[in-house]
Amino acid sequence: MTRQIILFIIAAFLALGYAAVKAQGDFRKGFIVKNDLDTIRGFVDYRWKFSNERVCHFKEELKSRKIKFTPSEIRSYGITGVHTYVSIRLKDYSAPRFIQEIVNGKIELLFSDRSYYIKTDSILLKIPKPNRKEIVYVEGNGNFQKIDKRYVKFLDSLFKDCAITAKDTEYNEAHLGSIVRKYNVCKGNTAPQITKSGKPFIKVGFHAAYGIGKFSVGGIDRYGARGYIDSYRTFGYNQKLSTFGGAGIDFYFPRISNNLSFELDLFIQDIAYLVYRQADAREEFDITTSAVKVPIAVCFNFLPGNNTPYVKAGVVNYTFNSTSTRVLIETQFGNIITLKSDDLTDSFSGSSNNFWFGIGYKHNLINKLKVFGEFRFEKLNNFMFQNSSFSSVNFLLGIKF
Amino acid sequence: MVVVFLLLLIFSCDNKDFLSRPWSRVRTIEINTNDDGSYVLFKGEVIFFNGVSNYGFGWSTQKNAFLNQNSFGGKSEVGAFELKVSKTMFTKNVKYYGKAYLISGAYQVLGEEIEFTVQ
Repeated sequence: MTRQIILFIIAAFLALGYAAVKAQGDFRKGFIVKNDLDTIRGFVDYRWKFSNERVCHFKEELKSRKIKFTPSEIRSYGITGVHTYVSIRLKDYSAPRFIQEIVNGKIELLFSDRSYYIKTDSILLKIPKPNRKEIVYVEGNGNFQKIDKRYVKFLDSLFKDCAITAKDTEYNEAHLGSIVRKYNVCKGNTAPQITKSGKPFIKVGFHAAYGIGKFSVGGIDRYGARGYIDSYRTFGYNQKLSTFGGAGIDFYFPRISNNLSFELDLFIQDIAYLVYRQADAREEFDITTSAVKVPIAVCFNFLPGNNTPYVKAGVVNYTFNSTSTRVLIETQFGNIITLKSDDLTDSFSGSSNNFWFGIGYKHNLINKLKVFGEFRFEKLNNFMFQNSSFSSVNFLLGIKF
Repeated sequence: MVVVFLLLLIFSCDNKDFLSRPWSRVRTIEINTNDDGSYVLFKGEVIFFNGVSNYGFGWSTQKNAFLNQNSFGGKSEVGAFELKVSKTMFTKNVKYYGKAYLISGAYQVLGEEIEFTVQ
């Protein structure tokens, strides 16, 4: 199994490296506004927020070459219905950057580096960022929280001509976006106003997959007098491949992160494990079983779009059934062969839990249909006797929709 | 290409031929003296097939001996088989040792010997 683990790690690094080098990006319908105010429609690469602030990758057609724009070269860019970035030089920076526009209109709400900005035609103001909440003690009144509300005063003063108060406004995208939109409406702005908080809190996807795996058994010492099953690996070989198939659910939280998701799978797994050793007699240790396995995992997508390498890790539960576990000892004296069979099926536990991790790559085919390939490493403890362990390297192919 | 190469390395069989052998294999599953009031039930299974010209069960009052046997002739595939032998064939309260067997080419293959007593 050591060889499999080493190969698994090599595969993981190669897959990640390859994906990073070959990643063609996730180009979605969007636009750029040039410095002469010409708008060109096309496709914009959907990437990490940090990358979005430094450069824009744009294609007029999906098949054409991508063009790189810096903040000095264009006025703004965006992906339709997702986000817009405008080129602005903030006070703390020497060169312009692309800053995310949360709300547009008569006044605009911008976001960069965990701070919000208000922009009009002539001015750019940073909304005072509240300090951390402090617990203060007041003699006679005990402890209470001191909340920095400078941004409330700032907004009240800004919006006083519309009698809008920020008293109940929190310093976050949804609340600030809402009050800026309200002010713009008061000022007669009826155009659609961008807001990222239009994203759903949770999105659900589904997947189905089929895979192959190779199992290894360790730590079984029940066999005492006839030697340790572990020692079979010195002589023997795992001849059989295990197969599994099933489906699962993916949970995404777009408002929280474009990179994280959770998944819950249900697979039917056939496990075949066979090793042997040849001394005076030939001994074979043979497990044939099937299991329902339920892996749960957190998945991190390296790129925010649909074409991305990813890693995942979590726990897995196996519930075994239809198990057959036996040791066969075959002895040859001339033309006479004697076979002894020892049934160990009763020693198999009903279920087992432990951890797993995986690495893979998913690629968008059409619309929401994606294909993915994934390596998984799983380990189970105490599936048979105390201290026994079951580890496996698996590869699966599947679709997400 | 790299992924395919790694898949082959990880999942290829280490030794494809280690199960092959020039004889078929048989195991004794059980010998049940309580299955029926008047019979002893022998159960066996051919678990690897490489030709079977004869197969069946044998028993004796001696260990590792083969004095009495009952055979079925040729067999063409793996699978379980069983035999019912009248209890009148056995002496009461005497220990017997029985096993499944088969003839495969030049080889005689014997399953595990199981001890039983007819009451």
